[in-house]
Amino acid sequence: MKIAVCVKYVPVDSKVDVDPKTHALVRSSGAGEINPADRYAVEMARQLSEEDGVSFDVFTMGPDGAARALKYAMALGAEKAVLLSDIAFAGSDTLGTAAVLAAALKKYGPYDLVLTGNASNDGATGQVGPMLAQMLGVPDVTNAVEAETDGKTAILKKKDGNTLYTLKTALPALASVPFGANTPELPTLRHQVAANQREFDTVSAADLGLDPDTLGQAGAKSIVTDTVNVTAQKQGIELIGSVDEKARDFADTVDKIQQAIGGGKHA
Amino acid sequence: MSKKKIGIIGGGISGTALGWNLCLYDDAEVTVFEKGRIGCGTTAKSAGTVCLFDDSLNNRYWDVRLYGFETYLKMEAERKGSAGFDKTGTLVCATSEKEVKRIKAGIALARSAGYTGEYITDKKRIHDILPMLNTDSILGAGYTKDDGYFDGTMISNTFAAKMEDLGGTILRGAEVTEIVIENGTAKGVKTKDGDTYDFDVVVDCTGPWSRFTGEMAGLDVPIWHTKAEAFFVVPPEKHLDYVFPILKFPAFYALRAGNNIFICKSHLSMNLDDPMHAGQWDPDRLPEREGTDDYFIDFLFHQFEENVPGLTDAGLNSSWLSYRAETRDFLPIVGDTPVKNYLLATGYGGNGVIEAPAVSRDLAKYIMRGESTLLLEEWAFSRLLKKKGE
Repeated sequence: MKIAVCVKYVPVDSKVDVDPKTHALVRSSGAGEINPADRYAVEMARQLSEEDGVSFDVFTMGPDGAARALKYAMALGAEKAVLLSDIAFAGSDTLGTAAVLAAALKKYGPYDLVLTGNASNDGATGQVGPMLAQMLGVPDVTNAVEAETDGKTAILKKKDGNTLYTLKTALPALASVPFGANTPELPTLRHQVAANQREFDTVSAADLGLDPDTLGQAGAKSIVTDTVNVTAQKQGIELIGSVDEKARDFADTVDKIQQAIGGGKHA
Repeated sequence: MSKKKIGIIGGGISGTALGWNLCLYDDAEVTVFEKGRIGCGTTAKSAGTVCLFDDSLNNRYWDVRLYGFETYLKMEAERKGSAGFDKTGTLVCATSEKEVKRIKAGIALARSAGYTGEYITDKKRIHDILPMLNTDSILGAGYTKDDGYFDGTMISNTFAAKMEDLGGTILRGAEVTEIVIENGTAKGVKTKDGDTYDFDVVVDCTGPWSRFTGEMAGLDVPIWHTKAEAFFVVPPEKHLDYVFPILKFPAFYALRAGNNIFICKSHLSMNLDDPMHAGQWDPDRLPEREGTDDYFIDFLFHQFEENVPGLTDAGLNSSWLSYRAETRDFLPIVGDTPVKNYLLATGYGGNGVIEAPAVSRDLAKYIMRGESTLLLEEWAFSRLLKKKGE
């Protein structure tokens, strides 16, 4: 049984340039890391690959630096790693990204199960997984937190709020995995250093037989009109004085917060 | 009483330690400009180790080390947690006879100051202190239980609070965008929000930003950025049933950080002529985490294979990149510059936490009373100008 995990290399913080014309992130301009939710997809694949006869490959689309996301997955047991990198891919929207991934999975596959993170922490659309499933012509399950498979079918636990659905699907299928679905194993120093030395395939649009005019910015069906940084506002309040004074100040603070958010006074 | 007005640029450990020391003079009026939060720059990424006899600072300056250590011990005694002290002790491993001599001298100095210290050649005893160590690769190890690591950000905030208690001013979120120079003399600073501040003395305490800050004063501050790439690993045992001491080898060091172990290539093993190690970069572009190079994790892994095999199968949890401000001789630049009344307290490299208290004590005295010290003379800007011309 073969599993493909599609991962994304994302900026670690807001110190990334934004193209003033396209409003797209310039992904080569800052430090990056594997998308947090994708770690859980890799972990799901890793756990499934503990069964005999199950292996997983990893794919990512991005500039050269995105190979670090591949190396992370290789350190955790990915057999083959593929970097989808071509200037023609730059500026792809979610549909274009899904098209490139679909072409790559067809080239390297067939795969019985495709795993992705539920959403990236930069674009956060959550669209690529379902689009990819559509292009591959396979069923997809979002928010899959657990997976079991016998090679022909998969039993997937899908989380929806506080409800856990157990779904059974024929393979091949695609599942997207949310942040926090499991406890990702850490790559050991030994395995990470070994993975850093390993080779991976670098694949272009031509290698996939894709028309560059249908890809990237040129082929995008969506238009980004603006990109803004959302900064969380954190503010700490130090409570000073005796225990009683601190308790009174704490209660006053809770009252102020409740009033600010439209709640009632505490009992 | 007319007061001497001093503006300090940078609210890391260098700026806040100097600010507090200056505020101890009743004729000083001190303002610190910090563009972010106190202790949030490279200070926040310091390991904070202040070891009694490692090689981070030459034994020639052992009093500087002791003064720093005892300053933080007193700070911690005044209010527990204010210096973030974790008393883990230190194990300094010797891999050459030269290091044995240096460590033994350090131990003598530590014992002279009333601290414990011993040089151990019994490999079983060394193994008992740190079971994951390969004792075959070392000649022996210096060990003390008395020291450990501190938290640079906590210390900076404590200095800042003590400074404010004495009437000093800290402007948080205030970015200095211009140094006002008239006839070759610093007269004040301007900030991003358009305000102008007049000073008798301006001190640049911006560490890795000093090259850029110096440019505003027309100075070429001779510092390089060396990469401090730190990795946090989870030992295979997950929870250690012993106190992991600060572990020092010539090429790397390790210390505990919660249930993780912090590992990093040592600053003195960096080569300023190797573009992988050093360069001129923009500290404002440093990411909050990650940003590391494979080179460093590979380097550390090979060091561990030889010396600390128990860590080779540790899980790689997280990492970050920081820049140290290093001079050619790996010592700071303190005091006067060719621009009158524009002083430096920068270039601490990997030793800011160790050196800031003694440097700040001496520099404050120099600024307020014009009295220099041997330390200021040795770490003066002029030594680097001389070398530049040679």
